[in-house]
Amino acid sequence: MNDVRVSVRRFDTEAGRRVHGYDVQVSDTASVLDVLRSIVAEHDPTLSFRSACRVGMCGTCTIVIDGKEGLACQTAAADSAGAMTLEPLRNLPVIKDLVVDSSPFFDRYRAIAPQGTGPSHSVETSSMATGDCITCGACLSACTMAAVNKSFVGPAALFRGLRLVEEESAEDAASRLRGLADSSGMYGCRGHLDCVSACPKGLPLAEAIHKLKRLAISRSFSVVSS
Amino acid sequence: MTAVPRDQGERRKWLDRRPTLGSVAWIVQRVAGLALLVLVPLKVLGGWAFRQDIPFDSFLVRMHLNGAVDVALITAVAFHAVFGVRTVLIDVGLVRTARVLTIPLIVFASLVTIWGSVIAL
Repeated sequence: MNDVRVSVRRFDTEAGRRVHGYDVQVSDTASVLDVLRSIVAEHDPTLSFRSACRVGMCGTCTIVIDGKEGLACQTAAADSAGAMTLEPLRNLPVIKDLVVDSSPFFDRYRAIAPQGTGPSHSVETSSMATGDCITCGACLSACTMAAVNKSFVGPAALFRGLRLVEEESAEDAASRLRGLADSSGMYGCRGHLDCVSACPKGLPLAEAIHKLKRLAISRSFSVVSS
Repeated sequence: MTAVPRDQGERRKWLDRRPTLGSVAWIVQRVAGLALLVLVPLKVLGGWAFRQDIPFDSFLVRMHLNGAVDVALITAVAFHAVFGVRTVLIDVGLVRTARVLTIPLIVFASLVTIWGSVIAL
């Protein structure tokens, strides 16, 4: 067992913003989610956080751990030697403690019509899932441009956008590329690459966005030359 | 738990964390670009005034011969250029993570700045 000082950045509408510290004993195999559960069980039942699957599939428990976005259920508490700082995701309104309102993330996601237009992408059968993307919101939290540019749809939506562009008919793909080719879409990305290091699934988010840019530019040249 | 209306929730600011390598590169390149807007005309006009291609202006000539202006110009060019190279490499898909190449480019720009400073001052 290791002693860990856990500092949690808390917020609620009555008490406002503050940092609470908890001294917790954790096993070598404990996850950050285990730490949060032990805090609630043994120290402070008022602490709020979200979790669901516990196996890194749902993204519900995504928080900022020691300054970096991560899945609480998949991050080993032992990685934080002696002290750990837990914060809610950035760029999303905090409801209480580590719980954020994810609707702005999904609003941005829906802005690109993520259901697609091809026969395999009917609205009824489509889900928000994109390949291995679990739509956890870590990329949006890490993205500096999403904080500066409120209309920027964010890395996850653009990652989905690339997949749709590659799968849809040429006409639909061209239309989608035109829709994404502005500062709220692919050109809102300035290549900070923070999303890449934040993504718990290690998806090539920035690479996808820049592939979209290359596709848009090559299409625009081909339109001019034809 | 009752959900708080969105505008009542706490909004976290991006500046409440340490700046990341990517955001530093982005900001430095833009600040350097703005500095170049001032420094390049100053240097060129100063040179023309020195050669009397344009009416002599002692301020412009002083600026043209000022070592500190040279250092500022070299610094702005070096950092604007290396982060421009970084942007191009990201755009073509050769740089995929923030750390790759960024630190070597910063070191290179710093060495160029130091070298220029030694000569200019």
